[in-house]
Amino acid sequence: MRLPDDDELYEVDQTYLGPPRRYIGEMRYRTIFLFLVIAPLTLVLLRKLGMPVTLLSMGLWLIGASYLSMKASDYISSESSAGAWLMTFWHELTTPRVETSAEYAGGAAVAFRHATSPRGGWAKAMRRPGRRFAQQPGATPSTRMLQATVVTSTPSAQAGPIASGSASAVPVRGKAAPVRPVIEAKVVEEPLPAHLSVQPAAQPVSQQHAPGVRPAKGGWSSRPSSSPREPRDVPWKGGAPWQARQEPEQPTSRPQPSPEPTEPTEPAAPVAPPAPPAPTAETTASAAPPPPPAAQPKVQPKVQPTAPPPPPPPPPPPPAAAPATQQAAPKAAPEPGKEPAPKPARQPLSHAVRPAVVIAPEPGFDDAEEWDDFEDAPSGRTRPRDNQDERAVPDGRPQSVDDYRKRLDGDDAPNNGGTA
Amino acid sequence: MRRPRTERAYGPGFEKPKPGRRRVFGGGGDDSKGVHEPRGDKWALEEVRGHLTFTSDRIIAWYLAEPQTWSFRAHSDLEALITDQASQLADLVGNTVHGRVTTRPYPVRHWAHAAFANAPDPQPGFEEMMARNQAHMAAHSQADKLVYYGVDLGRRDATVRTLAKFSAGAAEREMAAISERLDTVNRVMSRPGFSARPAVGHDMEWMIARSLSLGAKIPVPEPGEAQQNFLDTDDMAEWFESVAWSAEPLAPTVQVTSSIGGRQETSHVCVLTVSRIGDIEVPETHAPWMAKTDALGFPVEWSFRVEPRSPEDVSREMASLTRRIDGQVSHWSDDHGKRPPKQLSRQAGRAADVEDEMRSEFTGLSTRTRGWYRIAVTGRTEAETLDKAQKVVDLYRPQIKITRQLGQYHLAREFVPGEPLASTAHARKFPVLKVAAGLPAVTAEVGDKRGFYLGETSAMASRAVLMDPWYLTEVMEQAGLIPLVGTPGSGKSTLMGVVIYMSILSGIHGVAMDPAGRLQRLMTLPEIGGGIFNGRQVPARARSVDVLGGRPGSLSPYAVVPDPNPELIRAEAMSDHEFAERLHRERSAAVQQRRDLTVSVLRACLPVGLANNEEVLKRIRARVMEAQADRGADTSTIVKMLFEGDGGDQEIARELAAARERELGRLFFGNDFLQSDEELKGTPFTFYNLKGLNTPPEHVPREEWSAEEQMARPIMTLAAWSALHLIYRSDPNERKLFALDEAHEVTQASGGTGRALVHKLSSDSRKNNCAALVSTQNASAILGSDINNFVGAAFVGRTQDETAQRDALKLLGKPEGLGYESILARLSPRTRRGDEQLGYREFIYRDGLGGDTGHGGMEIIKVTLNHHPGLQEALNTTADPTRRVSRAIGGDPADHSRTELSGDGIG
Repeated sequence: MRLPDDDELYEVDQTYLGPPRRYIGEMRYRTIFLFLVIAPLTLVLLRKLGMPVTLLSMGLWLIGASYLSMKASDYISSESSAGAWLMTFWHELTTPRVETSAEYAGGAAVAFRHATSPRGGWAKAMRRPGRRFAQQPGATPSTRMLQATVVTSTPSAQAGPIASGSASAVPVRGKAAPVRPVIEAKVVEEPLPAHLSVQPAAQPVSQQHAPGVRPAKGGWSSRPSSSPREPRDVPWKGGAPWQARQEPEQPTSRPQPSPEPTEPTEPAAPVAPPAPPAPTAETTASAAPPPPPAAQPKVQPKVQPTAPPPPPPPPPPPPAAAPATQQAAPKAAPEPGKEPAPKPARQPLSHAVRPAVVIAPEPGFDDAEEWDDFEDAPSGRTRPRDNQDERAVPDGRPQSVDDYRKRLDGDDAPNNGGTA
Repeated sequence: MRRPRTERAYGPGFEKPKPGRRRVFGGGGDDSKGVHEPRGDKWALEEVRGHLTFTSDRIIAWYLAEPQTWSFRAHSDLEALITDQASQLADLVGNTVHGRVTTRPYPVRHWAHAAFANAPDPQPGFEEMMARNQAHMAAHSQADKLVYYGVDLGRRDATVRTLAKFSAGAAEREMAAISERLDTVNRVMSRPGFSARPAVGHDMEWMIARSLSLGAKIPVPEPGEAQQNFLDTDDMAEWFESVAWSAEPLAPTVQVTSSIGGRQETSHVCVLTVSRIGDIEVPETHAPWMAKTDALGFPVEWSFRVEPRSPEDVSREMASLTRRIDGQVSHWSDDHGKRPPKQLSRQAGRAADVEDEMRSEFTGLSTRTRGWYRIAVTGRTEAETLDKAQKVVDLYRPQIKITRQLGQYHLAREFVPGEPLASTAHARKFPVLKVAAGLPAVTAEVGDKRGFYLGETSAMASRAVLMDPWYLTEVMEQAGLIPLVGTPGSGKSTLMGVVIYMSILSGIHGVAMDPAGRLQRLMTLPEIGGGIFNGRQVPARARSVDVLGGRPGSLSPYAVVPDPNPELIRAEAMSDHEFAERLHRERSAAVQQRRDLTVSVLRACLPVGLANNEEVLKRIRARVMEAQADRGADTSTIVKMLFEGDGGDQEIARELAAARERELGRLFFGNDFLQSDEELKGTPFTFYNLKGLNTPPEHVPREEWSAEEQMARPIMTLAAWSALHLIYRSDPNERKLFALDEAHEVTQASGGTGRALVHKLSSDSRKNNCAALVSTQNASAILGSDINNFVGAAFVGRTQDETAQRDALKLLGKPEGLGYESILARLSPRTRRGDEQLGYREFIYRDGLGGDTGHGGMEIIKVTLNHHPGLQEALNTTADPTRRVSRAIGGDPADHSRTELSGDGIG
């Protein structure tokens, strides 16, 4: 008994040869349809990523979108429709994963995290050497930087309470990220030279932000972005050199930096501005376990009123004169006979090895007190600015197109790629 | 020391945050660390009542299909089976038909209980043999295939649900409609074709358990175990909580962790989907496409859902497709003047055909379906599972394309009753006949459930083959004659030895005759021949009788034919008169049988010239008829009477006197039956050893036979009769075994007397509860006796000669010229370059247990002795130069080799 079936009947390969008398090649209908979907999507995406509108870029986009459409239409057939593929994609996302523990359940979130997140989370990945935002000056200290969560390898680092604000006591939360051996080798034994304590005169605009407001992540789309062509800050190279060169150009009339971001990490500072509750709490926290994370939101509102400019242009780094006073205070503060806080055995952050590799001292990265302000809590998300239109510029005014053009044209930026 | 995870994640003293509403992209919990509550699998199945499963909006009625046999069935039967199933599917238009094919491990324990109970008197060694058999059966994937069909009774929409909450009448009307639909479905599913019965109790539980714990070992319910026909939500929750399914992103397998009986087991499941199927011809060329997986060495699971479509629906779709095709053709040819692709014209023709069938067909056999067919392969590791999956793909290549889709987790969920379709991809649009030709219920079934374990089926599926030779006589009330046919080396002697070995250990009385003297090697086993077995002394259960080395007169033709058993006749006689009459008749027949045998024997003792002389034969017959012919008579009396006759008689007498002095001839003269009977008393089993007998070549004329060759066949005949006497001595109700190896030596050489022996075996076997195993190289030895109707079961091994193949097919009851001959020739195949001995032998086994034709089930079976190393060693007759006697004696093998080559050695 011969048994044919109708499967071939449903494989009507509809192709379009072009309008009558205008043969343009065989195009499957589904490819055309997919192009109509894929092309706008990719265009929007690329524009959001900063792709300029030029003849070349548009041409490349057209070719790429066509290629994508053709490839995608190869997978879509009468056997497996686009809807079936989408359903399969959704199923892959919503499939329960292997439960590694009671707290760590499977599910789509983990699936997505596995697919998109680096091991250990974004925060840890960013702290790794060679990553942007490996250390964020001026970030609000996390109340979760607990003594118990500090990973150190030397007994001295574990012995006493971590003196927050000390450059040698940068806590790392959770499992330590893999660190390059060279980092461990140099940092432990070499204290930072004293002369490196000179504060940078200026911080790049891109690294200025209000307390409690995290900077954008890396990537093309992160703001403030001058241009995709423009080299970014390169922390492992000692920061973007043009930042230092901006220093003379920084208007001296900039508002004074708010001491709040540094104060919570300065437990030994004898002279404190109008004492906010948070620094006190943080100071006491060095001896006692800190409050739970729920206490963190309480800190920031209390800190913020002390900032001079109510609209939160983030406090720029202190001017060139300021670091001297600011550094003097902590140095005078320690009690006589009390040894400085021990340095941690391992500094997973790139700034810690900078003295070993940087030829010239780079201002802006030596203010160790500010390093601890970095919000260390792993988030995986980028918190946007409160007001996207208001750019933090040294003079406090919103960023204008001219500013953008200036940086783009290289008026205030080096053209050496930041490698000097 | 490792700190608790909560502390590591949140710091000391922190409590784990309560997870918020779970979102897909990690929105749950208080931060983005990804802390979520474990997400259990939510299953659609809510309740089971009888054979109905309930989900929130659907009711599915489940049925268990009757297993169908496939092998050696006529094509017309198989086509009728396919047509019946197609017709039933066509009657279910509008209902989605679910299918689940699963397996239940062969109940080895149950068989062991039955086999122990079946053994009349288990001897030392029986338990050990059973243990080895059980271990072997458990290690091999011998499983019963269970095919479930689930018919969706329709969706319960929201309106009805809401109305039913407020109006009792609405609920009642709904229930009435459902029960009416259910009655219809019950009727359709019970018709021939599916022959399905509602799946309730253990059957339903097994399907749910196997579906939820794919690949896990689930204990088989005991036959007497209480069944549960109703499973409510709580019961189902217990099921669901015992399993956890998970999968990694884009992973090829799904991990199914099951907690069964206090142990946890994780299996990897890979789901394959049936993609395109080319033109197949069932049953002529191809096997049922769903049953093909039975040929794999491991069990797989099937899940399919078929939607029979109404003709109107299909017609509409065909019209739409035709428009698309026409549009394309027009675009190519009219708009551009180009020749359209050939496929378009083919599709247009096909669409027109289908549309025409939808309009004109009324039998339902042209019904179109849309279906999804999935295969689940399970293994302990992912690598093992993928390896098995590849085997499945290779099995179906090239006619059928099997694909592995993404989204394995949801595809695997389809195997659980009540779960929705996971993916609409790879929907198959089959005519209903092609679906029916899948025949998932086809399996291999042969043998009974209580007998000896012989091996497993090897054609369609791998299932245990059990044979109780007395099942035929005791239950089926058939003759107990079981021929074993095959060319030399086909394994018939080994198979006979296996049955003898198991019979002796189970306490069966019997006799075995082996002209080659191989079966008596079973005596070397301590459990048979006596000795130290498992640290204890066991008596001998058998003894060997050397016929050729026997005393004079031990094969007297008068002695070997027994007197009729009065008890047997009395048991069958209706009255005393009839008893007396039948006893007299039987005694006369025995006397005449002795005289015929004597004539035949004396004739064989004469030279060929005399033996062929009619006058000589007449003189001998006259003297034999004059002489007394009871069991105690002596052949020497005939010689003496001939000496007393005239010159012709004396010449014959001188030849016979000379024959009496020969080594073999002296066995006929004299009478030693009383002493023999005394010796054989008390021994359950006897091997008659005919080793050393020179049988004449088949095609050599009688004139060229030597004196020993002339003696050979009378000796065999007499020995067979003598052995038969032992059978008739004992209680008719007692199970007895008669084994005759190389029966063609007897039937062909001894002419009418040999055939009479086989005939007597077949006709009396049922009354005497005797199983008679008769092995021969050519089935014509059996068929020539015109006893095919008495054959109960039969084994046919590899047969390559055309004549022998025809005779073997006649024995099996199969027609010639339909391809069965090639099957016979391909049994026990060997690779051309294989340099090792084949570890098994294949036979076609006809069990004779009823059925439409009376021949019972018929399958190709594989007999192996790997799990009985001692028995295998004892029955291994293949020559091995490394074990030659010269080596056993000792000395330098090289020296012996040299002497053997020079022809002076002892060989």
